[in-house]
Amino acid sequence: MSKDNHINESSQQFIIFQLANETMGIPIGLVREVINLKSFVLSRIPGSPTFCSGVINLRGQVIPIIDARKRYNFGLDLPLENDPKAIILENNKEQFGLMVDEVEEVADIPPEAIESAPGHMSSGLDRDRKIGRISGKNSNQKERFVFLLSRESLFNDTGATSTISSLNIANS
Amino acid sequence: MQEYRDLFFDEVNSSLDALSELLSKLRHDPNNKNFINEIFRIIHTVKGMAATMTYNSIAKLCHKFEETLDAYRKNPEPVSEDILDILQRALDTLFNLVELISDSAEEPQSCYVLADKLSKELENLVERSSEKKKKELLINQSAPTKVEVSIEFQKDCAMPCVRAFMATQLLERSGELLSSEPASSDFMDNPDLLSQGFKLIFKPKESLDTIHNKLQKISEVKLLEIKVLEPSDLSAEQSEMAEAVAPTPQNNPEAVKNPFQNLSEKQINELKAGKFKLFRIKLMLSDEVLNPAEQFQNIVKSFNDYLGQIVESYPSLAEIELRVKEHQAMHPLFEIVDRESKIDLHQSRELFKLEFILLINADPKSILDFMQDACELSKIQVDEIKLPADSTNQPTDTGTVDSNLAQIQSDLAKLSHESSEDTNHKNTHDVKTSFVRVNVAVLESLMNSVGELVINHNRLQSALGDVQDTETRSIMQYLHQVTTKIQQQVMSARMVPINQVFSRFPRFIRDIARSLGKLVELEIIGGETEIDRLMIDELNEILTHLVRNAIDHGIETADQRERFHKSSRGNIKLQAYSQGNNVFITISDDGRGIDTDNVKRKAIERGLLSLERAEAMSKEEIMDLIFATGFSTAAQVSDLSGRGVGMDVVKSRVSSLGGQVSIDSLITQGTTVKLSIPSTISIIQALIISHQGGWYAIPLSDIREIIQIRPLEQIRKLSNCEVMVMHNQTIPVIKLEDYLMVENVYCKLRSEDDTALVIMVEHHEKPIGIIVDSLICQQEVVIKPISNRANMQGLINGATVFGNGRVAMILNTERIIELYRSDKRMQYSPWGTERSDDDSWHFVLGK
Repeated sequence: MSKDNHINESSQQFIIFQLANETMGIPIGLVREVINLKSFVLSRIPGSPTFCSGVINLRGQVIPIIDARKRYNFGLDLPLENDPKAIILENNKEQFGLMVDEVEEVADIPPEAIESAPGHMSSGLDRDRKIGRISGKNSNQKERFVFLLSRESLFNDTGATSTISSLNIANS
Repeated sequence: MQEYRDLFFDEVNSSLDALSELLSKLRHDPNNKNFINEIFRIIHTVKGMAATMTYNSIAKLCHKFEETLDAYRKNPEPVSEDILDILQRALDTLFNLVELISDSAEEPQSCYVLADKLSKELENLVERSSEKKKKELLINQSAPTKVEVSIEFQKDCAMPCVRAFMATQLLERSGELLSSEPASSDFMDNPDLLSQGFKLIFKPKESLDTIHNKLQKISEVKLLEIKVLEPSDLSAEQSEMAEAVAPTPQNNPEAVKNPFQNLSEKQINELKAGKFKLFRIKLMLSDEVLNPAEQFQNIVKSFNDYLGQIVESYPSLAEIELRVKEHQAMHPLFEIVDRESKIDLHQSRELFKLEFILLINADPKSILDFMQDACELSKIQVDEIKLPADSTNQPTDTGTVDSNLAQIQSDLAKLSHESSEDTNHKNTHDVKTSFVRVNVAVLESLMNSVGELVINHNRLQSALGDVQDTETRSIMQYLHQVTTKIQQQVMSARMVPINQVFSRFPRFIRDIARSLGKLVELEIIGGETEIDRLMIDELNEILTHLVRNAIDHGIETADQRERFHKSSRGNIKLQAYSQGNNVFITISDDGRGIDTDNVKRKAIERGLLSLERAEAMSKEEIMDLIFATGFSTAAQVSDLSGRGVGMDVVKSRVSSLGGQVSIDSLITQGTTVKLSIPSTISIIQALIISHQGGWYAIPLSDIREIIQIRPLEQIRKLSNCEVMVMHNQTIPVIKLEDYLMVENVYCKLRSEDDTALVIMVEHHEKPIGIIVDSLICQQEVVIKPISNRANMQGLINGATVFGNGRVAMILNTERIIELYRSDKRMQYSPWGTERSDDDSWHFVLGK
């Protein structure tokens, strides 16, 4: 395991959520809010990729909702949570909601608890995937592992969006 | 000072853009003094701004620029090509300087090098022309050497000292003032000294009658005499003329007291009938105006064009004319210096004031608007003058009016004037303060908030639903009015004249044409057409592309053109006009045009269409091939005459603005590209439809007609297409569900009795139908953009939110039709052999 402790900031905050039985984290700086999707109507966008579940009207703003399972081709065989949440992400004025099963907490992860994932663990997420360690839900539980999604993987990841951009080129 | 930096660059850049446009105009019309004056004014402003910011290189170059141009302001000669060229280069350098300075915090040393180089070139030119000037001056020096002028003022003359001072100033300009009696320093303190008259001795540089005319302009003068002290070669005739006694000027500086006196009977009757209105307009020009008299003349002239009539004015029309002539004779720089010095303030103020009575059929607001457009004002006041109540006693002939009656009338008029002055306070504008620069971001957020307001208003309306309470209803009604008004105003604040884009082209075209060795002329029409500022940048890129194409591929070289018996100069026309919610922009050239056979051949070579299909295609369809992806590259590699470089990109960009593009061309005659884009891209009128459980919005501007049909009965299958017959025409229809690519959760079977709607839209001037389930309403919708991430195929132009929180997609019909056509093209069609004679079939078949 190669140690990569030279992450610029001392301690980062992550929002921790559940997706298809995995625990994952997103840097808090990218998160605008968390909503309960049950109270929103999803409208499909014609001609949109399948991982885009549609758009919602969030207080007058139209925000696309991305199905994280479909987008990352991840845990598609597992049953869907019946009360999905969406984490609304914002970067450079672009906004979208990431549909996840459950949002748990906001955790501080010190740099020494973040490391690169072992190379063989590939699941269509980050190339250089980081794993963090956080304490268990209860004090008696042991440390848990969290897959950390980076800004790059969420907003310009090489997987799903590369198809988007290639299509755009074809269209233009 | 640093906080003004951004503002400075903003201002200077727009000024330089304007200059660049004006220079090209001047090139076409090198005699037009208006252009020269305008350029002069702008460069003067830039100089001032740069000096304030201590960017001395810019200021210095501007100064030289001014000097160079100055020679031509009074000179009747047209500005020569080489001067224009050097001015253009100076302007380019100014652009460079601004860029250099904006890139670095300080003014880099290289700026001075650049500025000096150009300054030298300009200086050389100025020297050459000033030598010429001197020679001319010598020729004109046949005026007498010494002259005595005596002036006597009227007894009740207001402020004689000022008038005496005006005279001194005038003479100083027209020659060398040797002495005055009493001396100017004395009479300023003690005006009584002037009661015995005022004598000046001076050496004139101009002929005596011009001086005489100038002095006559000073009002309330009883006697004006010009005597030659040392006889010279001046002819006796001239001196005699000069000795004429000045008539006491009629015009009182308080001006125009009884407006009705000068009206004819007919005019008064028309006034009574309410056909016309009488206005008293007082205005003061901004002191940046270089030639106030000329401005006045323009104002007067333009009112005559608008069917108005100037009944009376102070200064009088004749005097204005005189001033224009005088101004042309005067040294302009001299005047600017004078104006800036405080001593001359009073006189210059007088020069900038105009008061007149206008008979016109218009309301005060439109006059005000008109005036503000027409000239640079610092102050304007428009008052309506009401007819006196006792208007039946209006004189039939002003000459025979009983003096008492006239007195009463003039009092009445004064009264009504005064009362209207009181009530019409809002018509008194200080034009200078009525414009504010607004940050685009503020405008954007304002627009967003207004969008929210509209949405929430709609929400409130649907939440209240059937509340029949009259109170609530009237509140809602009022709220609706206010909302609509705010929305319109914010929208109009976002609109800018399309000239912001067009103005960049004269230069651009000249540069390209020069580099390609072609002669090209540009014609711009309809630059005042307004368009959403959000579209400006995008439009600029699109037009740049099209214009470059036109020069590069359209316009031939001069000898080629001559061979075709065309004028050696190619012509490119940029035209804009608005119609409904759309703005149309055409780019036409008179170049070689597009050879349709060539296009066809190329398309077949590229495998874009089969030989049989190509034969059956109409001209428009062939032209359309130019927009096909994959066609462009072919055109680029080969030597295919005509255009096509990246036209697919143009098309997709236009369509991302919600617009359409078409191309028309006649071989050897030229090509016209026509863009149609919505004038605004944030709020549109749309038809809301429901289709298979989802709501969609279709821009009203796309829709030609809506028809109710029974789909099972009326829709027929024709090969692989659904068609219907309407107005005796076979029209292809699109099943929306095929292109929405939404999982069909609500899909229902259609029965014989079910009805559906066909929305007729136009594609390349041919109708095509879209079948939808039902109509919800027609409504104004706020367009919310959707990120490309989720809108990969561009089938929608954004989304909109309804009062009930529902989101509807705004369909991009153009894109849907395109997709439909390319789908049908791909599928196998057996139609090659069974062609019908009916023309309209080709449409179905060809695609």
